[in-house]
Amino acid sequence: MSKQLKQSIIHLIIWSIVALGFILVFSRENTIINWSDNRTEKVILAILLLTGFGGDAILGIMFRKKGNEIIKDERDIEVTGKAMGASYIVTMLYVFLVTISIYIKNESAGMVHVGWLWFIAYSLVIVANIASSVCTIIVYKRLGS
Amino acid sequence: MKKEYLLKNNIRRIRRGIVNITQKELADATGCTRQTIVALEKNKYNPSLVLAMRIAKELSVSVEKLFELEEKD
Repeated sequence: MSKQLKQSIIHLIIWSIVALGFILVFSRENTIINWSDNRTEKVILAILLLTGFGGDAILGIMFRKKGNEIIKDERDIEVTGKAMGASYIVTMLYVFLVTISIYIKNESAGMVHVGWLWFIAYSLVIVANIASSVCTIIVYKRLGS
Repeated sequence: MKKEYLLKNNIRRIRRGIVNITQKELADATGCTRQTIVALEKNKYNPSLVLAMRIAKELSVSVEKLFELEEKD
């Protein structure tokens, strides 16, 4: 297994934990409706995102080049390129589907709670990270891990 | 109808049978990872022209002997 693949798997695990926390926070009944008054939820979400990006930073340090070791070559670059292209489409689809769903759900009311915008913003970061690592793992499996 | 081709290689056969070096040694000599050599030997990855020529040079064979183009069924 290449170092890049290992990094993607760990990246996926980190962001899956963040996603789980995110789902737990937003699945509570009044999170969206009382968004402006929910200081605790905002702090929890900030900690979750910090965990994700902090994990990325630690991964970067763990998997940095040591001496003459080759950790990334042309195949890794090709895999990353293909995976980024695919994850871009997945992320765009996600944003489109979520915004349309929120619109349909709130169409009759004529407005949406501001909490939904925060939901889209936070979930976009999480989905983009998960999609990139999942796509990377899939492309690695196709091109030999 | 457009013809489709498959790039096959003899890296494993030449590396083990003639030159007798390990995948790691070949990877280090050609500036790629061992996983790329594994993927090449399994015909899962088509190398760039530069990498193909570096492997051919390291194994002391011509690119034509190392790689062959097969028509897909």
